[in-house]
Formats: sequence, structure tokens, C-alpha cells
Amino acid sequence: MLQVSNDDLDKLEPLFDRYQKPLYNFFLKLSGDADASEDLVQNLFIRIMKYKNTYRGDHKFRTWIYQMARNLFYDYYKKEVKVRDGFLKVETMGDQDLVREEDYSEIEEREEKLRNAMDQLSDDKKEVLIMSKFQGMKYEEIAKVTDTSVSNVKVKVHRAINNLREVYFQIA
Amino acid sequence: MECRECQDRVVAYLQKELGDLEEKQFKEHLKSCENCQEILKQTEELFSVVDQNKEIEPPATLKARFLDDLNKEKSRLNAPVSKQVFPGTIFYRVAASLALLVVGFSAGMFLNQKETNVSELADLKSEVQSMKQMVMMSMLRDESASERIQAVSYVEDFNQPSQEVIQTLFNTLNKDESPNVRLAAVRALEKFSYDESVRLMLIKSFEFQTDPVVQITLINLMVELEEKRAAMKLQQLIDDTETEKIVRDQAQIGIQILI
Repeated sequence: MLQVSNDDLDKLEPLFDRYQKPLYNFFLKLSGDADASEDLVQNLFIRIMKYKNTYRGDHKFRTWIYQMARNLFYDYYKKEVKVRDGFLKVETMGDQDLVREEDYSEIEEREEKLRNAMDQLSDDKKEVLIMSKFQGMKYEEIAKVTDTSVSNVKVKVHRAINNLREVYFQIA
Repeated sequence: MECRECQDRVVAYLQKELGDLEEKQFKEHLKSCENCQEILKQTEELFSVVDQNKEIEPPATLKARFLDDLNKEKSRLNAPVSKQVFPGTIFYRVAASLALLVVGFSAGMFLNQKETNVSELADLKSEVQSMKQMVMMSMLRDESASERIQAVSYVEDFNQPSQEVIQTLFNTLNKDESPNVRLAAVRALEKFSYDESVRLMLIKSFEFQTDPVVQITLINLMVELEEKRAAMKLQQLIDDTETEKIVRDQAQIGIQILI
């Protein structure tokens, strides 16, 4: 990654290929909005191009990119939340209804239940849960991304899982 | 170990984060406590659901957008550095001049309150309006869809948009690549549907739409406006084999109400 910060933009493409999927899913799980998630990944990489000189190599690249992803997401929510509200529902409603009419397998049902349960959690619980359980990041790394202590992350993850379990089995 | 403590350790136990002694105490308690056994069972099930969760593939357009941005950045870096004197987007530049204008004007008002005349105020109003229009049009050229949606939503502040603004909105409605932005354009234009030419262009717009949500929104708008002239367009939607079923159904309902 240090190579990218030295203005060699070609090195950015393999990094995009590696991270676009986890980042897209990170935003998707946080926001529940596919279009917004696509925008957010695009904007994130624009930021990386702009700020690549500020990457100092003292953290792993993934840590740095997730720090930016988080900031971007919260900025975006502060700014967009009013405008988004009206359109979001129409869009997700249309898609899901189409799926429901066709074959609706057990896996899809379980996934939807998980999605609904995730939606009930607060953003800060969601984000540690996504990083820890869905994206397999270690407590140490999550602590660096969220700028807090390892023991704090551990407590948060445990609480988030317990919380998710309660909601998940309530939905049943 | 108390039941409460035990419940708190279920997650740690499954993630193998307990020390030897703690794990022993945990298992000891578990044997005799059905409640904790149930929580353990649920948590195990939840973990298996989470493990089986598959990440969704991002749409191919994302990579295309990235490559586009990358090329722009490359050509920007290769270009001579003359344009970067004034950083920030057009939006901020226009907003700054707008702020100056308002401050200057209020200062003027304050200094000679008695001489304020109505025509001056009207001039200022129209100037502010035309600046807003400028901001909106430049934002509509932005790459990000959310930025363009915001641009469209600015129209709500216009009482009497110029012909140019209306035309820009229709360009967005008929040509923008994102259905969400198109949808925002329908909402904005709906406000000016008292205008005959807006109505006619809305009817014509059916020819440019392929996204079902946009189509349905337009159909519903026609019904709301009791726009009988749209019936022919609805019929064309029904006859077109490419049209999604839900859209055809909605068009059918629309026709029945309109005729």
C-alpha cells in the first residue's frame, strides 16, 4: 500500500478488487440500502485517491481503509438522512416483493430474518458485529479502527451478539 | 458460578475466550441450568446462521465507476497545476458568493433602513433564485447519485422555476442512469404539474422509462392528475412484452380509473 501513497495509482486497482466486496457488504449491512452502498464504496475510493499521501503505513491498510469507511458512513448519514428517507422504502419494497412471489427458500428466509434482526440493533453495535463476526476481524484491529481499547471492543461484541440473539429469536 | 455470570459468558465460551478455570466453572453451572443451556443453544444456532451468511457480490457498475474515477484522477495529476487555486466544489464557491451577497445587502438595509424600496428587494430575490438554479444545475452533473438527488430536491425551494430548470429536470428524468434520481425528478416535477407543458412532457416521458418503480410512480401520478391523455401511453406499456408484470397490472388499473 505504501506504493499507492507514492502516487502510483495503478496499484490501486488490485486493492479495489480485493476490498470492494467486503466494503460493499459492510455498508450494505449498516445501511440496508444497495444504491447507497455502491455510492459509498465509490466515494471511499475517491477519498483514498485524494488522501493517499496521508497513509503512513503504521497500521495495516485494511485498518486505515475501515477507519475511512466508518467516517464516510457517519458523514453521509448526517448529511443525507433526510433526503434518503423518502426514496429508500420504495426501492427496497419493490425488490423484495419480486423475490417473495417466486421461490422463497429456507436460506432466504433465514437471511431475511437475520437482516431484520440486524436492523433492530444500534449502529455502534452493528458495526462491531459486522467487523467481528461477518468480516472476521480480530478485536485488536477493530479497536484500532474504532479508536477504543481491546477490552471495550470485546464487551461491545459480546453485548451485540446477545442483543442480536434476543431479537433474532423474538422475530421467529 | 451464578446464573447471571454464566449467561454473560456464553459468547466468550463459544469463542474460546475463557480461561481454564472459568471454563470449568461455566460447564459446571451449565449442567444444572436449563435456562443457560437454552441460551447456549440459541447462540450456537445464531453463530451457524452468521457463518452461513454469504457476502453479496457488488454490482459490476461499481468497478466501472471506480475505473472512471481512477482515469480522471490520473489525467488530473498529469495536467498542469493551474486550476487548483480555489479548492472546493462549485457548490461552495456559489454558496460563498451567495452569503456575501446576503451579508452585503442586509448591511445596506441596516445602514439606510428608510430608503429600502420594494424593487431592490425583488431584484435580490430573483438574483438568489437564479444562483440557486445555477447550484442545482452544476450539482446535477455530479457523479454520485446521492448528490444528484439532493440537487433535484433543491427545486422544492423554487416557486417559479425557469424554463431552463424544467428542461434540466426532464433531462434528468429521461436520461439519468440511476432510477432513484429519476424518481426524485418525478417528485419535483409533480409540483409544477399545473403547467400544461409540464404535463405534456410528463406524458411523453413514459417512452424513456424502463425501471418498474419509475414507471409505476408515473402511472400513479397520471391517475392522481386525472390525465386522460396518458391512457394511450399506459396501453402501450401493457402491449409491450418487455414491460414487467407488476407495471402492466398497475397500468391496467390506471386505465380503468382514467377512462
